[in-house]
Amino acid sequence: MNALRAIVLLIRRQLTHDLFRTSVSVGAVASGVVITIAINAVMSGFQTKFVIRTIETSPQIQVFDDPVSDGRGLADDWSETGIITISSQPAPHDPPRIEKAGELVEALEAMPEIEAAAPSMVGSAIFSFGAGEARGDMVGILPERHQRVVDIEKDLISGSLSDLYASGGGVILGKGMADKLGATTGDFVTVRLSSGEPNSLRVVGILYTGVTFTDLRIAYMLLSVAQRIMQRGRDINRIAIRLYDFDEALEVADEIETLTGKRAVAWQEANTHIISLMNTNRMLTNIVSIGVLIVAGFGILNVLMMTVIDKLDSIALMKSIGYSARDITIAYLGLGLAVGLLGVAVGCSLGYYVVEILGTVPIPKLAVVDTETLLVNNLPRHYILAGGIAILVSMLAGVLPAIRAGRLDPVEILRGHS
Amino acid sequence: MTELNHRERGKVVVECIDLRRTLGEGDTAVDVLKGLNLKIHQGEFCSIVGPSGSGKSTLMYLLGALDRPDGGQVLIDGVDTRLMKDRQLADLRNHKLGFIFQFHYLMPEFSALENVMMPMYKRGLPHAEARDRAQSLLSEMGIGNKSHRPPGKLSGGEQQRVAISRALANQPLVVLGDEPTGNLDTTNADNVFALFEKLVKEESQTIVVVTHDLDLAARTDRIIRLVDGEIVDDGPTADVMERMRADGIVSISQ
Repeated sequence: MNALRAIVLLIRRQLTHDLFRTSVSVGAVASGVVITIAINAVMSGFQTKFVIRTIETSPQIQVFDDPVSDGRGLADDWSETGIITISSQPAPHDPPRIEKAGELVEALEAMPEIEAAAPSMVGSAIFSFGAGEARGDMVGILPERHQRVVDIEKDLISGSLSDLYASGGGVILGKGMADKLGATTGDFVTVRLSSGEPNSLRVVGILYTGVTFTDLRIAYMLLSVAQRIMQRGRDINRIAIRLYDFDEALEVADEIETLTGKRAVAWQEANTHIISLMNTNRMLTNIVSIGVLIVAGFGILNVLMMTVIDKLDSIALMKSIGYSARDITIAYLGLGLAVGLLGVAVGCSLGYYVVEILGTVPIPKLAVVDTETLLVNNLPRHYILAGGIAILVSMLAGVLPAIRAGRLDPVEILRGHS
Repeated sequence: MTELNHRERGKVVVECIDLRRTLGEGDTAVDVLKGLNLKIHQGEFCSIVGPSGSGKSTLMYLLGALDRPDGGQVLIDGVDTRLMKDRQLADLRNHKLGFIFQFHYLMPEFSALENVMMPMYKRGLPHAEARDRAQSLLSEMGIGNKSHRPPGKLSGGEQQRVAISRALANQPLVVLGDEPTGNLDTTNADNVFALFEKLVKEESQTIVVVTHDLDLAARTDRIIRLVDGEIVDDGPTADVMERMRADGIVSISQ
């Protein structure tokens, strides 16, 4: 074990003897770690903000009365019958009504994974105020029930949910839409379907979720008001659901489809384009992170090779006093590992502050999430990921110099001096 | 203290049988050693002399188990090194051999004390024991008060004394010196040889040195003279010196 003590001593002294060289190699690893932590923090910051705001500001599952798709496509029809039928019947503009909605809501609320369910009537409409006009999504709700599914009150920057009961009908507009229309609380906006009579509703609240798409399109009103505007009697066409665990949304949506035969859309499916973009970004982030750390690894490899060349005399001496090729190899592997560990320690410390600073950097408004500064997420797993890869790369970078050091022939080195 | 190498004056500690070594390959191959036979006994103070290229250093590396012969055998303490694996050779060097080189070969990152402790660490001596012995050896060499200095802060003579202390750290059977005074001034060279003489006399230490300096060789008990890879003379120092003078050789380069 004392041979190990000698090896540890050798590593310590090699690190401290040439501080410039040590600083360069440790700096290479630390830079890689900082960059990896920073880009992961930024990517994760955006994703987390988007996901959290999405699940907070919209139903985690939406149940529609559309029949569940059997997954068949035109190609299946062609291969089985040789015939493709093209129908001229247009797709319905809004989802059809849900039969026996009350019973269904009760049945859904009885499921153990579901925290709350609320009926609603949704449809597209054109909103106008003065010269301003915007397309938006009417969402007719029962305020108290819907509040249990989506915390609307929390995001209201003016008015309150109960103000929807204003005589004649009130509407809560997303801030983006209100700004676009130039409307504010107390104003009367006109709502009309693509075909139908215009209806006047008083703006009783402004909603700001931070999710740009939602703020630009959402318009909450009483269920009865939406039914009146859409001329749908007492129909509802959507049941909004909140889960105890939003991560289970896909599984629960599948279960609902199996149990009810109705189409259930989880929040991930409703935002599939952004989720898939995020997944692509995450993959690119990982590739860049690993690439940066591999470059750092080449830095270590270079420095360790130089160290081996510089330490030929010491290596010959170590062998002459009884250290084996294996001992020498272990010493230089240890040196690579030590550089990696130091680089990780420095990189993680710096990374924390870099991420904190990045969180204050102002950025142009994002299309998806409303923010004035870079969104960052300083998560331990980013440090573990960056540190783990950096240590692995450092160890791998040390292999070649270590093997070379171990295989050096002391006689050749000694002859060089004789 | 861990087991010491038992010193039984007179026993054969190093033996070469028909030892051959060729360097280079093909047309450039040179037979550096051409079938040497040699026995070195416990407590002998031997010098190997000869002109440059005569094979002195090659012989030293083979005796020190740093190199492998192309033919013949080297036996250290009766053990044939030919069949030993690298790790066994490393252990042999650590336990039974001590090296002193011309260029000191101290590790610059370590203090003098730590340089001396390194072979003892490898042997498995506890830290405190290794430290105390290293300090004691350096004190015996007269540089105990400089034990914490790095080699760069020591003079050439002091560095060589550290190297000698390191060579003696594990109380080796044989100390091998490859031009150990070649890089020192006359005074320091004289001091180093005085140390060797003391070790041989007081501790029966076997010492084999390669040297160009006939005056220093004259202070050893036995001279082995190599020319072109062959032993041309081997015997008590006075006899070999006499024969060399008779042959008109007044310097090793001849």
